[in-house]
Amino acid sequence: MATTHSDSETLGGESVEDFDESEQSVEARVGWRYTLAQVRKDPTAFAGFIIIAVASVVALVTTIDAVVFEYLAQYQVFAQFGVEKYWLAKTIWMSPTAEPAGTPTLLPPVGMENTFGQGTWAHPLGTDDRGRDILLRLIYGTRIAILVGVLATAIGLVGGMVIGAVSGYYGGWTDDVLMRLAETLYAIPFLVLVLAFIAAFGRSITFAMVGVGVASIPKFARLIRSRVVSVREDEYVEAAKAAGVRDRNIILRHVIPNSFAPVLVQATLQVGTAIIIIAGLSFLGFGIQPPTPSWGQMLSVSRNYMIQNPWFSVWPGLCILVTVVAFNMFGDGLRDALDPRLNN
Amino acid sequence: MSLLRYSGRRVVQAIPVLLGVVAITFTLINAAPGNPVEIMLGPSPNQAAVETLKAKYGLDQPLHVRFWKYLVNLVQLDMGRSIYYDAPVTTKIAQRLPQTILLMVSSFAFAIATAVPLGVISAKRRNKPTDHVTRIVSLVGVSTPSFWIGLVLILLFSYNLGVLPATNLVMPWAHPSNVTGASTRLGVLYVAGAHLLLPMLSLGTLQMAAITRIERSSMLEVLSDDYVRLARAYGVTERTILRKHAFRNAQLPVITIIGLQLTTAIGGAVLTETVFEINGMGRLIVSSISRQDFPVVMGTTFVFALVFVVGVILTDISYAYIDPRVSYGDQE
Repeated sequence: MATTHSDSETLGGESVEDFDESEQSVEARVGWRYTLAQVRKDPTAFAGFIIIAVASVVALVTTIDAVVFEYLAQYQVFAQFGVEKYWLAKTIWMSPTAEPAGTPTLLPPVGMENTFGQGTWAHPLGTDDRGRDILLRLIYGTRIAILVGVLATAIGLVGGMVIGAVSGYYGGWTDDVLMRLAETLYAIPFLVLVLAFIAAFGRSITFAMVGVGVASIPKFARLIRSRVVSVREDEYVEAAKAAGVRDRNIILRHVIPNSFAPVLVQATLQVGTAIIIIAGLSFLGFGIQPPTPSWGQMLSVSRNYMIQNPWFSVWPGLCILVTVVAFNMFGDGLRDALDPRLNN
Repeated sequence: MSLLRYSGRRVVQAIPVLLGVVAITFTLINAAPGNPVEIMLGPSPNQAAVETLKAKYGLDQPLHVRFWKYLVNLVQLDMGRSIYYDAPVTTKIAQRLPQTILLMVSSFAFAIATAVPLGVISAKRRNKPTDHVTRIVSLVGVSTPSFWIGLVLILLFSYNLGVLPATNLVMPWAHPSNVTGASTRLGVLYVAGAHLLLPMLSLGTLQMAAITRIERSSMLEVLSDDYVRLARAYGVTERTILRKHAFRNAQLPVITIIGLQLTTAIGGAVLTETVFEINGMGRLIVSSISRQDFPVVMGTTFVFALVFVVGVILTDISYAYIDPRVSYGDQE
């Protein structure tokens, strides 16, 4: 899906590098500043970056809101000032009358009409089956998408980095065993592996997230291994070895940093993939459980009300689309910046 | 001959991988905290009943014995009995597999038929409006969840326009007497096509977008190769270069991607089947997880992995067929 290009590592059983040697040396020479400057010059990549930044801020604010204000509300600290859960979100994005009691359910977006009544500015995107504001829930869904997507990718990245670095650096039977294991995990289709994981450990967003992370380990491990194998032969690694630096320090200080550029591209694209997979799991009922709002779970509920309020099915999907497009645009831009062959 | 040898070697190489798949799913499922027997009998069950049921499903034996038994049975196409359906898992899978295969094959056919020309045109008219539109469409395509595309298609074509059915699937080889709205074989085909169209688009869009992207970049790379420039210098027309020189060589990475896309396509099929209420393998695994019907979960996981591995082998073989260097290298 989002990882089309980097998937081309294996061509007919032979390993073919996505990033060739010239790119590695250029990247090493000019460093991260150059890369970031290149990304800024690329309007699509920059737009992707802005969307990711905005979504991250929204995710952060809503997390504070949900966690801190729920905690405060428990102790009635700010109750006298009218501070409760969702207070931040309401004051920033919503009119104060966002959730009036007893409103009819499944209102349409503003300016439209359905059997439940007329859409109003109080609920710009309409309400869901329980009369809750869809916009507010979408905003809160950002938290789950970004947080879970990034964490799942981080699990895959760290796991893949350890396995790939060890495998590539030591070679021999360690390499054989680890790579056969990665190959086997890779043979189970991604979503099916995550489903098997959930079947074993139970349905919860934590297991869904860990499952997505574990399932993405082979991809990262193979990519990092292929980088490490080529970096291992570089002179500075040999110099470090001759100077008596320990293997662990060589891997951490020299091998991994110098293999990291293509991995970062892969990780950015993988966040997009993880967001789609986790939305899919929530859609199937294996991810986020109600009442916590998430885009996938909203889509799952909206399926039952497609005649009454069709717009309900449209918004969460659009949110997923925009977020994932942003990660893909940024990831593609990052790759182009790191790969001078394409910059002509 | 070398192609045959190469194919044989790829098949043999797949055996340890599949063994590993069984080992992984077996370990995962047996790590499950819930015991299927407890689920069947409810809380605080009769001890004698527990023992009988455990013996029936072989759960009273140690893990390595059960694993060995499972492997031996698997080779004989026996995957145990479903707890929920009280029927052999193989029978359930045989009932469900055709729907999933039909869905996947049709969506790949759609994806390849649209993506290859789109990618070639996009590369040929690089940085022209056609190219920009194609790039935007494929970017959006790889970023959209397939199940949401399905929902939007249902909203548009089933609810708003009312032209295509939203649920179920009619198999094209079904008997006319079992199909509503069809009295002849041709009628069945028509009904089946109408039912297949939306799920196919829903699942195929993602593959289409992914293949378009790789087709475009692959064509661009080939078109800047020295031999193409030489052909241009000799005055060969662009049309001939594209058709005779560039196209075939550019298909190699595309073939690899088609094989690897199978993994996302299988995941997409699970979701698409849920959206369109198609009784295929995907819905089987989803409902079996909810019912903690572990023999079925293991069986479906294995069959999905088998489908993926077979797909990758087929793409590897067609790769070797197009590029003989792969299988020649094998002989050394």
